[in-house]
Amino acid sequence: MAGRGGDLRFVPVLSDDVDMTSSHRDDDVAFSDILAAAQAGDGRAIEWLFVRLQPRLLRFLNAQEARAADDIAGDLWLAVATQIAAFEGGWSEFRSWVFSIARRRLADHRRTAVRRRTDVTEAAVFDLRPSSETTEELVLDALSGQEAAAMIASSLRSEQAEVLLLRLLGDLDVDQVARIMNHTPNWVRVTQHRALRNLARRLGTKIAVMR
Amino acid sequence: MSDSDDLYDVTQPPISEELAEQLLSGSNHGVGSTPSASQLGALFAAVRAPADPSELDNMDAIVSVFQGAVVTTAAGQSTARTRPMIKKLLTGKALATLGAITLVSAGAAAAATGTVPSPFSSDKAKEVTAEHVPEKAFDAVGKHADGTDDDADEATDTTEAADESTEPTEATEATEATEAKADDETDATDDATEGQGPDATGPAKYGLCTAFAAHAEHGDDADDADDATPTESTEVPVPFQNLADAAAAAGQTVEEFCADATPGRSESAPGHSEESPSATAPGHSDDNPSATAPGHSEDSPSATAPGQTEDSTVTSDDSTDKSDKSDDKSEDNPSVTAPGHGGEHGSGHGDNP
Repeated sequence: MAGRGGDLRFVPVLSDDVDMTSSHRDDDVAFSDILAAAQAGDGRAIEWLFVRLQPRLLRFLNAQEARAADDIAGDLWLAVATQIAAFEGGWSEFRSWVFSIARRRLADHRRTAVRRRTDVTEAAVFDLRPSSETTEELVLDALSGQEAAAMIASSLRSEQAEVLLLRLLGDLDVDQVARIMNHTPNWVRVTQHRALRNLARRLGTKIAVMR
Repeated sequence: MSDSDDLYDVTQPPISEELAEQLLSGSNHGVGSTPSASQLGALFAAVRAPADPSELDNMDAIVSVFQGAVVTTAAGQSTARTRPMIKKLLTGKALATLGAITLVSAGAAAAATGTVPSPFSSDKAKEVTAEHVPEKAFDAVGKHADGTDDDADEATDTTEAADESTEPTEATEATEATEAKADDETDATDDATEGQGPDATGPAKYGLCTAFAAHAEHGDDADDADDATPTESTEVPVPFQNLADAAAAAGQTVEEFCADATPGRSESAPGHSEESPSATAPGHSDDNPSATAPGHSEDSPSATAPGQTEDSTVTSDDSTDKSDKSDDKSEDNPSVTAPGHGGEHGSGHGDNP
């Protein structure tokens, strides 16, 4: 178990220069120390995980369930905390595990919130969704993370959007997404290809109009 | 939605699987190969943009909750690990207790093989166990185990002795030990005044006479044996005391009193078994140090009881001659009855004719 002193191996990794998407072996080795510290309740290790995962999780949840994203994220972290002691694996596996929890929590929320059909859609949701009326003003590079994710979710069918979001926000490969969504890797490849084509078509149309 | 744009497939090159993987994996290779790829690359880069400060607003709260949940979970896990351990310990104790009970029963049964009635052996087993509890201050399991071991040793010892000597002699040892230990738990001084012995004028007359005669013949050996247990040297067996008293009451010597003794009377009447658990035991226990060692336990503090138990085991080995003597006597007097404890009355061999 990694200690809680200042000689933690993961301390250099905590610098902002480290890319969350990095899944090299060295990072996994460093992550093992971070994981051990987090399993022991080390605050810095937990912050390290939170800083790198929370924004991605919020974008993933916001894009699909904007009203409950914060609540679901809170429940998600609590679930992670209670189960992290039993987790074994590297950084990539950890991301896959956390996003699988997020997906299940989202599905649970949707099942239990049937009444949301009568809920009034918040104005913020419309703000995140690029509409045809605002296409001319669309500048992809200026989109925030949550806006970009919401644009993907609003432009694609739910399964296609989910595949792309898992791959982009979770930095997961085809096999990992297949396991999370309980489908075959081939299904994921086909779905992501259709999603990219549809998204490009929509963006092309909009951008073509812009140009 | 966008599937309705039929012109896209005509005007735009298809997205290869390799390009799709490059776009989704965040690689910059091929992102600018086509306008569509550039657009997708830009959108995906925005999705992966660094965290906005607003996205980390509640970090402190979640980290605190996370820490609390981790600690709580860790404690719960230790509890979950402890439970089976306690369960194992409880199971182990239960098994040890059951094993102790089994061994006690087995030891008692072995001690009672063919001689001692089972109620006596059960009492003996219980008393042996109870006797050793305060001595060694073991825990509940330890008590049973210790008592069982000692009892098993005694049972083994007495069983071995039974092979060498007659069964009545063996019964004497067992019952004397039982009664002596029972006396230890109550009051030794009370037992000193309660020793009665057989009625020399009754059915035990022949046996007492026979034992008395044998005792007189082996008086020297008995003295040697008494050297091994000095506390016996000044004590007179109650049965012989009773015999001498009966003879004196009749105005006769012991030899004269025993002249008309017939074995038929003793065989027809086993004696006053209702008075003492050792009523059926042979009466020459005082002559047999190995048999009387436990019987004299009331002379000593209860603290020495375990040692006496060991002595009874050891003396059976180091005083083979004693066993032999008792064998002789018990063979001669198979039906002699005597109290379990040797008793403190009398003056030992002074009553010998």
